[in-house]
Amino acid sequence: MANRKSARAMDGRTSLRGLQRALLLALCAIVSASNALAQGAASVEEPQPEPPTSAGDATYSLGAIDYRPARGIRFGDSGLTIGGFATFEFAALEDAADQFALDGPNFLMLYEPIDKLRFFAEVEVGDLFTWVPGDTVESDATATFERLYAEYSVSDALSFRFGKFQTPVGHWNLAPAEPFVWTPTQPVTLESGLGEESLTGATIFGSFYPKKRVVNYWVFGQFTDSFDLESDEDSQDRAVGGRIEYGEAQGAWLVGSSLLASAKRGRWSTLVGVDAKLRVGERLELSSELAVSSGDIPGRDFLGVFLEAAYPLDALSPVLAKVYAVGRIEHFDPSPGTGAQIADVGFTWLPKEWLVLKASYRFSTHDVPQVERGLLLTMSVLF
Amino acid sequence: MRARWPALGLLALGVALAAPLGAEELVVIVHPERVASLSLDQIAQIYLKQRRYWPGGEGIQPVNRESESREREAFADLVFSDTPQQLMVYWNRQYFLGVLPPATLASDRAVKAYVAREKRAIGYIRASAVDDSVRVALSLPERAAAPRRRPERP
Repeated sequence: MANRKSARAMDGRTSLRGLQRALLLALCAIVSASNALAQGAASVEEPQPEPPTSAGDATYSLGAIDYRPARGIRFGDSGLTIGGFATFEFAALEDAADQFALDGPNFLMLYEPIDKLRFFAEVEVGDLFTWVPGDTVESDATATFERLYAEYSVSDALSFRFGKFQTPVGHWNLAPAEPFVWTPTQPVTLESGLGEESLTGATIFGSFYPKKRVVNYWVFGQFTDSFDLESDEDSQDRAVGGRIEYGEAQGAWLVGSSLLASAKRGRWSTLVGVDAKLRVGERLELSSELAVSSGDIPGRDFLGVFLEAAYPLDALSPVLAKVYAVGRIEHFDPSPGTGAQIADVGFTWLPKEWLVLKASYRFSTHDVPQVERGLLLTMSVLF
Repeated sequence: MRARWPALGLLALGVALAAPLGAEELVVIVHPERVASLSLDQIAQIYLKQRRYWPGGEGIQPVNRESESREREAFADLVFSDTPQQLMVYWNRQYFLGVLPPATLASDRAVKAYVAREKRAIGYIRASAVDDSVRVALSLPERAAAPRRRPERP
């Protein structure tokens, strides 16, 4: 009996083991089959906009319309996307009262009806409010087309752009808006020296790809008055110039040179610049620009050069993930003997792709009208 | 011996769950009518939207996998010299310029079906998923054997 019990127990254990094996094999088979079925069941799908890459973010959809922070609203397959950005700012500058301001919002509108044709507009609402504590709130909300152009591409090597667009002079000025640069302040060389960030006219541009390298070029001209909803006394009347870049295929390093001749009320000035950017290892990013301008337009003669660095601090502590130490030194000389050394030091934090926080302090060796020393804190939101 | 079967079962289950990529090779695929082969740098430029047209002048439609997928992670690691954080900064800057990241699809099958149908498209899938409906433009080295690419210095 004991033997029978024992034999039954043995049989039971054997059958239990068999059952375990069968269950495990069945589970493995179900998992494998479900993977295969999941892939097999899919029909031909249309690609969808890039979903959020920041943890916790989502894409919001209403029918064919979907919205993703920092990438805008996409209206189905129409080719139309609308997004934008805005920057909240606190300035505690020397020789000025502290102030809060909302710069923007700026709306970006992209319409790509076919492969080769695209229309782009950037509308800036202007300074929505400026508040000096203890004083009244002021608003200068005026809509301005910062950019408005049509673009037609024949190939990567040849594209045409007509309208109002960023002047392709220097690397910084290609995308100079606050959320897309490392510091809350612009280099004085560009802010004061360049005059205007944009021009109204046409440009021919393109890229060539020699072995593991890229060559980008722009040739541009302004043949009409500046396109602004409000007239600007400082607007240039005519301009002509070009830019060429040479660099590593993926942009790990890049050197460029620009030329801009601009006219204002019949007087001409010429700006010549060289620039470079370089990634050192996987972390340190360096960029530098040098520009010299001279001619007949009053206030346009200067020599400026800057070197900027951004270094991620996540290696020091996980708490500092996505925090960058940022610094820029600059020499700006609007006329011989009046030059100043300017330094901007601070931090930039990119906690999400739609949120950029910056803190920076500006020093300078001399009082130069173009330089405002002090603390600047900004929070930019991309929507 | 009794404890071995559950352990082996769990191992098999883990392998089955982790099976989507493993050490398997990724391949970049194009429509069968595309005859040109592509280099790693060209593929990087296409997915960064720096190179936007096929030699014949048609627009290139790069298709990405969703950002959380193992395929996307492996592809980014093999192809781009930028870190994910640097790519985020890059795409924010492109947003200002009116250039949006490539669209995505959620499976090898969906990518393959789309590339097979759309002549302008380019995608990447596991090598085992390739069939005659698409053409392999480049086989990417296995992830374990391929350290992160470092660009040349001038």
